[in-house]
Amino acid sequence: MTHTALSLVAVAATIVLDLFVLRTRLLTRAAYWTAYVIVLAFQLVTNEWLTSQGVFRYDPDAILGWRIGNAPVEDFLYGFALVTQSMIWWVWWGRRGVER
Amino acid sequence: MREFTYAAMLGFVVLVTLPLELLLRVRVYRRVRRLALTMLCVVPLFVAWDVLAVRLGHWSFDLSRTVGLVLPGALPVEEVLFFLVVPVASVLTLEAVRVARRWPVGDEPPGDEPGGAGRDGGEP
Repeated sequence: MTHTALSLVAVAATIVLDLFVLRTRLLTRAAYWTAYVIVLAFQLVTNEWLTSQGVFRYDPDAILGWRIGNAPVEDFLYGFALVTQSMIWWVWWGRRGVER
Repeated sequence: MREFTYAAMLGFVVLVTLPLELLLRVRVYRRVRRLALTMLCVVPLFVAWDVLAVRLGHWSFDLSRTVGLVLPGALPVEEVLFFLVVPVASVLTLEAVRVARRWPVGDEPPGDEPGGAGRDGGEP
């Protein structure tokens, strides 16, 4: 599997987790989208910095080759999954009464 | 100083989000159990993905940009720290939006949603 394929699976799994499995439905909420856009803005800055500094190197066969700045577009799919799942689980544990 | 490149970025994220906890008082670090449980659900999965991706050759690290401590699975310690820093920063941001806008995030007790009864407040 390529990085592209894995990150697309991760995006799909995140959506399924939110809407159908845990039913947190964050993806329907203004609070989520506002927070995500803010995090994305920071990701654009930090990811660009790290990639342009050469901290990560990507196998060209594992990615599409589309970049936003220096960062592969797949990094933003990956980031969506990581960021959104963090928020999803936080909300879910709160719903269960843990330090609500 | 090059070896602090990755660590500096992580430090930047932690510092920039700290005022959310200390000044805006979002109480994310304070809700340590909830935060720990959240991390338990997210961190192992993404660390495993990372180890797999490195094994498959999807990406690699320039170790001269790291402090040089490589963990089992061939991940620089900063990479594992990344999986701690980013989820915490994400949750801090979500809670900050909740506090600043008073929009619901979905963990409100039933009957407590702002925006009036019967309306799913906050939908775009």
